[in-house]
Amino acid sequence: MNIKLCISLLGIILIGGCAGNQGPSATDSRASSGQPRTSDRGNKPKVQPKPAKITPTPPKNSAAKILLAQANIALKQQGPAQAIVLLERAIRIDPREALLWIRLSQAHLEQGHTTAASQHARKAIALAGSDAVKTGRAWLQMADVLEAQGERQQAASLRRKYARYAG
Amino acid sequence: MVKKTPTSRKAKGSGRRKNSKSSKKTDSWLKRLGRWILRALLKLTLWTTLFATLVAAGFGYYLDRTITKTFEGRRWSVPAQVFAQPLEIYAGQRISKIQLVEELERLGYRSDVNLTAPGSYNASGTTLSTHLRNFDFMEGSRPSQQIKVTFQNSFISRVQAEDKSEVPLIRLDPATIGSFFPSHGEDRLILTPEQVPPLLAEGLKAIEDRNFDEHRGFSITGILRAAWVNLRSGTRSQGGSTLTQQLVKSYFLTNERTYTRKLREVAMAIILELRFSKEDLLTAYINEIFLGQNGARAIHGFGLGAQFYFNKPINELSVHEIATMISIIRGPSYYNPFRHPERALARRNRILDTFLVDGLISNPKHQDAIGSPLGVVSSPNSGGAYYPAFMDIVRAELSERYSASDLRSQGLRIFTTLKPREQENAQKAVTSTLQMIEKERKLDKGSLQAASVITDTQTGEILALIGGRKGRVDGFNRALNAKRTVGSVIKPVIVLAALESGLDWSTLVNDTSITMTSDSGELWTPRNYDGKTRGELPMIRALAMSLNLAMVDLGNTVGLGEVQRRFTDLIGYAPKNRYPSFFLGAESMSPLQLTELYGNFASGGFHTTPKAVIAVLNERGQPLSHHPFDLTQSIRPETVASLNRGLEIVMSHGTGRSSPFAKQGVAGKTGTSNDNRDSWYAGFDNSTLSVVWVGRDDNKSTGLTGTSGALRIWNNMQVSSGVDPIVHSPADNLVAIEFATGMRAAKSCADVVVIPTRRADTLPIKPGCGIRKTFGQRLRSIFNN
Repeated sequence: MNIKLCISLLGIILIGGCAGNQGPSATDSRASSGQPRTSDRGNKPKVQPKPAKITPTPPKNSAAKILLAQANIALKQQGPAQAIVLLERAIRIDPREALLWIRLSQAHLEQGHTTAASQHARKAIALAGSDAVKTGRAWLQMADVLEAQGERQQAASLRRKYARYAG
Repeated sequence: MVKKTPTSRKAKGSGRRKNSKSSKKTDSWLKRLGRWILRALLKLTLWTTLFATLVAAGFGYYLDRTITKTFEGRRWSVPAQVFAQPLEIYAGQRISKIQLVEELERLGYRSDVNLTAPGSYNASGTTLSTHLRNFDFMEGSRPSQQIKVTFQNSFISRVQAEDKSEVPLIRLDPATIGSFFPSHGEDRLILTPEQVPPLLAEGLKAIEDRNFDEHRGFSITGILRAAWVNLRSGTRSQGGSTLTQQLVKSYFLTNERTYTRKLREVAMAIILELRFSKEDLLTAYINEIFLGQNGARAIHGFGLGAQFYFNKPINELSVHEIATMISIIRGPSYYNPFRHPERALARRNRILDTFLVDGLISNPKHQDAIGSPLGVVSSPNSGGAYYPAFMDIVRAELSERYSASDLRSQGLRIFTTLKPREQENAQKAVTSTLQMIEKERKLDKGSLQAASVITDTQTGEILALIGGRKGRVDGFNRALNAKRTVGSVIKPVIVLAALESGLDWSTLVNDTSITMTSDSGELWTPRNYDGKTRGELPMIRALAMSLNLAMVDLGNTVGLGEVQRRFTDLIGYAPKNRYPSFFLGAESMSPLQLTELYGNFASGGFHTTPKAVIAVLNERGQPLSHHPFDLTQSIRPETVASLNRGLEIVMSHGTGRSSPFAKQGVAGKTGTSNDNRDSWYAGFDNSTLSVVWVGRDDNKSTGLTGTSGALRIWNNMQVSSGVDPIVHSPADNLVAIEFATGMRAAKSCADVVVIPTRRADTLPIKPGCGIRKTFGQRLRSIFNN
């Protein structure tokens, strides 16, 4: 009985220890969110340099990369319709590239097609897989879609969560 | 002496008068009659003339209106043209030089060391240079230009322009894969006067109507000459028709050989000549003339004729090819270059001689042309890319937005998702595999049929669609319309519902005999394919080995309602079969519907209706409609990832294991309906989803299972296209289990599969297999003890 009790206690201690190591600490979280830190001791707040922008890895496929660049220009200059044509062409070449789906979602959102924009953002999230930056970007795109759909709270929550990946 | 008195004279006169009076009376009566007749005749003539003039004027007016209206209507009635996906060329693209040559030749490009004209290529060493044709794409026009492609192994390593600058991305012109011609079968590619090669125009006049530029629609000498020949021969073999008359005959009249019809023909020809310019008439003739028949499709005009006989656009025809085309006019059947090449060659050479005599070509050109072979494509079905089965789905998709008349006459330009290379490859695999199976099993030749749909896993776009074993023949489209019992290919839906309800691959199911009673009171006793039962086994084995009893048990655990609800969510309609036999695929679906169902899995959990159209442009190249990607998330990412790992195990350890590609990262499921009537395979790799059905049109047994029929076709499809292995996202709940028992085992143990499970700690451990119990397991076993 005593042995069982000891093992149980040991187990609880171990499990507790493991739990303590899960996930980033609150301090880490604040640091990674890009919020400025204030010095605990000094009177003048020390402004930390802004963290470098985290840019997602561009598409590996050279053709998709070119078309994405063209679509970015089209989004600014010719409007979303032309960008959609280019992005769909890029996706036919490299269908698993999350960045293309993110941009496609953005183009549809600019056209006011929130349903399509939402589904394409979901697709981007599903394809981003273990790429944290692309996943973050995809969720931020979803936040934009949610805001356009009137879901401001959810959008704000997502933006807070993935702020470090903002472009 | 008788004195002639006035009286007597008078009397005499009177007598004479009497006589003369009576004669005068007769005279005047006759004269009057004559005059009356004359007047009547005159009146009759006048009235007749007037009436005839009115009738003639009315008829002329009627003819004029009819002819003008019909001519104008026909002249601008342009069937919609349908294009395949163009091949993208860029560094890194996976395509070999041989494959690129095949692509170019499919587009009618010819080998030419000097690349003198668009539509030519030169392959040498590790490079291929090509002179691309210009093409108006959706995003704009791409002018004709030369590029040089360098290959390394089976990849493009570099693309350069003529000035050696790098070309990052360029497309080949897309293949024209069909057009929407009217129900009477006339297909054509309309040419404008500017597109007509001068030699064709002049050659036609030289051969068919020497005085075309001078006459007013008919030629008296021609008609007289024909009449004289007919009189002498006692037949009506000669018509003496001008080009205008031939045009009239083709537009408005039948092939009846009577003098009345001839008169109408002449009258109509005169009207046409009065109304339209010579250039208009010649162009109309060039677009109208009948040049051959290909099944239900009538080949009209030189634009389509050039594609049909030579697989190239009209502007790329050489001298001898133009002469061959002109030789066909006189008798498309008699001078058919496929069936009667000697006749066609002899007539072509006579035409070339006329060209020379008339000064249309020089002596060296004549010599060169005379020495050339006919040069037509190998068979009527190999001229250009013509895929009627795929066209059916394009038609179905467009029917929601465009009327049949729009498609047949508005000159629309339709861009589609079809990839000709995939289509040709799939068709070859279907045809050759069925022949092989029939031979091996001593089945009647041609008794088996097949259908297949291939889509892009991520976009749901249809890359190839096979409607039957004969690809280029219009007919019953089994891919769209044959609804056949799907059998075990439905089983992943049960598994999906099970995974979503919290069960997982290691869950034990009972593979034991069962008898169920349907709502109608009927008893149903399913059996396994081999008649055996296997007791308790893990869900992964039940699916992989397609064990009916175990899957019914699993279905009952999840519930028929839940499984059917999930099926409905995934495909957009409720199943017809509301009984538990649904668990074993007693549900009829077309290959296209099954593709839609499996698209949910292959895409990573997104529903897409398989689509064939990308965009529609009007004849001026302005976009009318764009058909964007349309997807809806239908399965949670982690659930579909788990399901797909299971489907990979079906291939590596289950009913798909005989495939040479089984362990190369493909997921799929076979299916067989009762009495082996239907053989199915549905599967996917990283980039394409394929559904294949094999069966008989009379629904009799084929003796084939999903593995021995449909899967073999899929295997042969992969031989040339290769497999793009499924890429997994890293997952942290993967556990190795023994396939037969579901016990945890080391990966090094025999017969082990790796599955995602959340119950790793609770799984029993295979004894003697190198797995040590985790601390938790040991703890639990202590408590349990």
